[in-house]
Amino acid sequence: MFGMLKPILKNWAGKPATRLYPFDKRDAFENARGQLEIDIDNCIFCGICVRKCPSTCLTVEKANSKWELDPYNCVVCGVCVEACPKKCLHMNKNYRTAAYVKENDSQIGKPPVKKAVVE
Amino acid sequence: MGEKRRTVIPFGPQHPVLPEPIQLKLVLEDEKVVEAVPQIGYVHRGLERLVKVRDFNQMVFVAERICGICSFQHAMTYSLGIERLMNIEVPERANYLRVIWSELHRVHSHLLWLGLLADAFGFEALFMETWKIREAVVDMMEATAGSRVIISTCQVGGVRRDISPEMLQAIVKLTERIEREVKAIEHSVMNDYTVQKRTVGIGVINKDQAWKLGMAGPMLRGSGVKWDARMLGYAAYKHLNFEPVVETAGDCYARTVVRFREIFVALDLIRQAVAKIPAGEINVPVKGNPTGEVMIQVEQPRGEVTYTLKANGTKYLERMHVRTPTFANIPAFLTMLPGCELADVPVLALTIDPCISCTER
Amino acid sequence: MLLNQAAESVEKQITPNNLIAETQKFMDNGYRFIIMDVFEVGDNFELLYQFGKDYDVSTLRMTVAKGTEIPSISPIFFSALLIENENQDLFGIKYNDLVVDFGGRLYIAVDDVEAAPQSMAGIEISLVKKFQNKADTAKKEG
Repeated sequence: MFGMLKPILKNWAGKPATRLYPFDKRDAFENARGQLEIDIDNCIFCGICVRKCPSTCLTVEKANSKWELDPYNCVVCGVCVEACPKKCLHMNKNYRTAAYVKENDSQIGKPPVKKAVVE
Repeated sequence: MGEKRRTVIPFGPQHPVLPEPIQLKLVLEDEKVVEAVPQIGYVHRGLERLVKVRDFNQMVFVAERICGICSFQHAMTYSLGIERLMNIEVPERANYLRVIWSELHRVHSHLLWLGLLADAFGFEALFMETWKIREAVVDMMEATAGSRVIISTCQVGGVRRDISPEMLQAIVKLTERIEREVKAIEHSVMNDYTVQKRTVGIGVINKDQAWKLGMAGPMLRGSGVKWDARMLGYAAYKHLNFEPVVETAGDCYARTVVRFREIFVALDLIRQAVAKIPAGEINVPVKGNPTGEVMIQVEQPRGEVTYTLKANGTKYLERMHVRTPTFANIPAFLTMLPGCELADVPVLALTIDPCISCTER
Repeated sequence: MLLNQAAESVEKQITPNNLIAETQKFMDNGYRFIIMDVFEVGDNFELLYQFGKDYDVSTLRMTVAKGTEIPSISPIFFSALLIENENQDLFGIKYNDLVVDFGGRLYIAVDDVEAAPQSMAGIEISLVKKFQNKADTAKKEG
């Protein structure tokens, strides 16, 4: 009947097992998957990330050089990060914070440069 | 005059004891349950229908979201099925990594279950202790795989991430720490007077009945049937030695003992896998599309899960059918209920280790 | 041919007529019921019944046209009732003499008593009627 007494006394005498968030925050681990970010200047708008995404949260419009992410649909699996040929997608280790309004992360990059042709 | 009054009490779908919604209309005579009328379907998501719109590589992510606690084993069973259809040979290092993550899932699932069982009969101190130990396991998943609960590391052809040698040593230290802390509470789980009063002799199922009712996992092993799907030898289990834990009494206490001892077996398996893991590749590229039909069984913490996949040569599968272990245990639960007291219903509901979101996908 | 983790898989083709006889053979030989799968092939359903003993799995395969009534194996194997009710919901297959029949309402939320499981709810329906009668007679007297 007194088998639980030893852990209870240890907990009572030691420091608390929880941390006093938000005064004491823990940093996320190094390889943690928090939210998706893009380096838009390197993106060539090929659309491979759109085809691989399992939750259909990405949209790419090549004509307007636009890359759009719906962060509330994204499951942060990381398949797009592995599939991108230019390696311009990466995972931020901190999860996205709460917001009042749900909005998509829409970015416009550089339009494709036409090569000069000798007539 | 001699007829006893019968009352119908709705147990659920919202109930502080049950982790997930399931409704039982209990027909009571005084305090004894005479009949139980079940009603499920509150979390039916229709995940099997998604095979028509997600190709077979993307379906791994759907499969692992069927359940949050045993999610890695769902992804692994699906990958084993597709690899069997396409005759893909997974590298040895990937097999060992799959074993390490599976056994970590088993440890955290049994600790979670132990806490819920203690909460079912009011032993909240034990509930808090086991979930505190479980936090260390979930932190280790975040450090190695990137997320705490649904780790998204298994894919068709291998695994997506590697674990460095320093992290493998950290995992071994974690297993030693968990073993120490679980042994410290062993006495208050196994030998406590109150725990035994609430679980011994409740929900007895003998060996013959257990097999005929088609039960799975610790329900079978608590009744004396020595059956563990890990003995089939998938992933790296054929290179590791362990014995399935079997008890003969067949009541709730025997099942608690089985799950408790399985924590130690899982920790030992992790240490064996880390000692034997070879260097090498972690995945192979997948080319082409699968064709044919296959059935795979894998041991999840709750029992064995059965996936039946049918493919026809295109990138979309034709059918994916999942039979989770709770699906097999629910008919047995319905036969255990008549004849028990009202206060035993939560203990019986938790002794089958219910995962209703798995059952209803 | 259904592959599984054994080196060779055991499979047998049957018809709805000898389903009960074959299932009884598995029960007598000490097998347990694992699962039943349904594949849609054109205008037919292909049903696979899987039974296991020790670590071996045996399969019974049956092809029926859509709309055929199939005998239920739940009188022999009690645990088959859940998957057969699910098939009634998802595929519209009709079964004869199910032990507990949800009538196509296993996964669909239900608010009224009439749609609750018919064979086990006998007591519940009679209780509601009894209370209703008591309330009516009380109103008439009071």
